[in-house]
Amino acid sequence: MNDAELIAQFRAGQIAAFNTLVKRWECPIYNFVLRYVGNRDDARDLCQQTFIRAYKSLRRLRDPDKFTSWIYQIALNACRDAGRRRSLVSLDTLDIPIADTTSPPDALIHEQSVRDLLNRALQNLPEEQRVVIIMKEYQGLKFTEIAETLKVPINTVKSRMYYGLSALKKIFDRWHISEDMVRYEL
Amino acid sequence: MNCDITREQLIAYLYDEDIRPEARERLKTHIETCPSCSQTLAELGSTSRILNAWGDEKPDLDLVFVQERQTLWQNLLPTQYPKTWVGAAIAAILIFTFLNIEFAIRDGAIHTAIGLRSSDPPEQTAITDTTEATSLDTPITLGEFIVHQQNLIDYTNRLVHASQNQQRDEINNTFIRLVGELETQRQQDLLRIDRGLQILYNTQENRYGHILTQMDSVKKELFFYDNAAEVLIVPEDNRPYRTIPTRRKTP
Repeated sequence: MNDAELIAQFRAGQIAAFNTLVKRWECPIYNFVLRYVGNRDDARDLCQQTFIRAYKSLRRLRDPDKFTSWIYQIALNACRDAGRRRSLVSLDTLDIPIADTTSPPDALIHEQSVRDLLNRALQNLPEEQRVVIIMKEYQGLKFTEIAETLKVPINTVKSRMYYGLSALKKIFDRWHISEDMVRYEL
Repeated sequence: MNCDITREQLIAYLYDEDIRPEARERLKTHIETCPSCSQTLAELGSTSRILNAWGDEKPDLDLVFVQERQTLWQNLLPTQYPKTWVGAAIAAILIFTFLNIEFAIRDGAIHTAIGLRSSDPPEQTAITDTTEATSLDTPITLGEFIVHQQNLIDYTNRLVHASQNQQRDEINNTFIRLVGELETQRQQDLLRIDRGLQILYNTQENRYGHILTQMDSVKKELFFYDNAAEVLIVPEDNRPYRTIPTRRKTP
């Protein structure tokens, strides 16, 4: 049963249909939020908030076929609202301040996991580039879906993707993170 | 990049998305011969692959949504209309219930009067057509015309009053029904609370009774230990027994 059919069932009063949607989407939404905010506690809270907001407003969704971009929009708004309310601490384990991008993490490489390093690198990107990269690289959204979610032209999405990847490349070079190192770590 | 290939085109080529097959072929041919584009594409691809080393995590959320219990009012009110419409309809009903609105046509103009409904119940007026059939080709005097007009106004007034009375009766009946349902709901709630309290009381009583029984048993055991030379601790597994000397007073 696809999302649109589940939404129709939910609108007809079947709460179980919404729970099926939650089960289907909690992993993608959690991971999206986790990579956006950078820490698990906030990710759990924001993921929960996302589904509560979705529950409250799903009956007003005009086009159920656009559920994907709609749910990501809610998640992104929840993240941005939380970011405005307080400055989110980005990392679970790293003690080095995020802004300190020049410090070579050679010594840390063997202590920190690849995940922490990538998290740290993502948090150093401007928000608009970070969102696009997470949506494309990790969530596997199409450029049209990202453009729809962010309400920007598709070329803007591609442009942000380009600049985001280029910025990450510079960070990876500075931190001596390579494909070989990542493979070794894994 | 020193050539005319745009960043957007490179990204579209990298992800093989939003690019026509012929445009893709052209880009492929260009990239093979352009060291700058080729290097940029390789760097973008490498960065993308490094990012993918961070796999998805499994959330331990276990979110489950349950059906919100609707109140009596939510059940009664229609849900397919916006709340503002329902509110406006209720306000209109209340206004027509408690205010006496009269319409009258005098001297060719419509007159309205609004006032509080009197406490005395209005007399039921039988609606009868008192207008007399008058032949159109028979000339009538001004006096007859005024009387005829007055009759029409009276007839209209009676119609309006009858309609108001009917509407008021319907609203009154609705309220009586609502009050009845509320009372029934209240009685049911009280019964549920009473049953719940009874269950709670019984449970507490059983629990205290059980505790008292256990205390008796412990007291007996203590008495036994106090009079024993040593106590054997019997483990559940195959370990050897352990003994604990008691504080028994030697005679």
